[in-house]
Amino acid sequence: MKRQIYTGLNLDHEAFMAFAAPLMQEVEIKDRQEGIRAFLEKRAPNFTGE
Amino acid sequence: MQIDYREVLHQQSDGVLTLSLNRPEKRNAMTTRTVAELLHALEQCAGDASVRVVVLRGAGKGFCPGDDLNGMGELPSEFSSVLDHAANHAGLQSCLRELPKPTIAVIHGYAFGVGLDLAMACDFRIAEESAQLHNQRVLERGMHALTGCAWFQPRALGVTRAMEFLILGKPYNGREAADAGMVTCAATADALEDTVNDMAHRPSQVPPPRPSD
Repeated sequence: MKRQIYTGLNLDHEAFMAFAAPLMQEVEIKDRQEGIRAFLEKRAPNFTGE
Repeated sequence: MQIDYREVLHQQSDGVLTLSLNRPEKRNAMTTRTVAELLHALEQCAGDASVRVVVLRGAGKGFCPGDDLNGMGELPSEFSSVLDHAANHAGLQSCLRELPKPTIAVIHGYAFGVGLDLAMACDFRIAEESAQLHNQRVLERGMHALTGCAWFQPRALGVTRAMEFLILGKPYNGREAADAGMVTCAATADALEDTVNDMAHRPSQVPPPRPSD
């Protein structure tokens, strides 16, 4: 996120969205899946750092 | 091509096209179909001289809480060959920014996550003073990379406040959002409709834009 914010300052919207799309794939990690699962189950997430 | 809109209400009056997210039973959470319907309506109005201003809002209790995580499936077949933009949030945001007409988002109740991104892609935003504006995706869902907001919010809030809003999940109400520059203005619930009408009709009274505008 931090990298996105700083990099995004120097890109136009189109270029930023192209830059960000692969990052969205990179973060298909366990914590994200747990976050979405917790949201759907209406409970607090249990993040593990994975 | 005629498309049957199911998740977006379409109303035009006095040069103002109002598109309303219309899934109140799901608090207007967006699906792939919602995105496609919005895109189609926006692309259709781009060349329509009778539309001078586009207002984007939500039916029911709030604007939009983000995506319906159970509704982000395949693109409905009737949209497969009729859209110029990709039927995703990046495409929708680009379409709003490219549209040769002023766009106004009306935020009442709540705008969260990519729902707030949708409002941020509009040219103007009017928030009900008590509306809740929040990016919960990093803190609550472990999403460390996001589209739209990471580009829009530093430009609206400045980097310092954007870091706080995006990474620490600081919530804003409509008044705070107006003071911080995230929205154009805030209005009480009683004054919201007058504020929207006033803003929507001001650009609709100026001469039509030239192709180069």
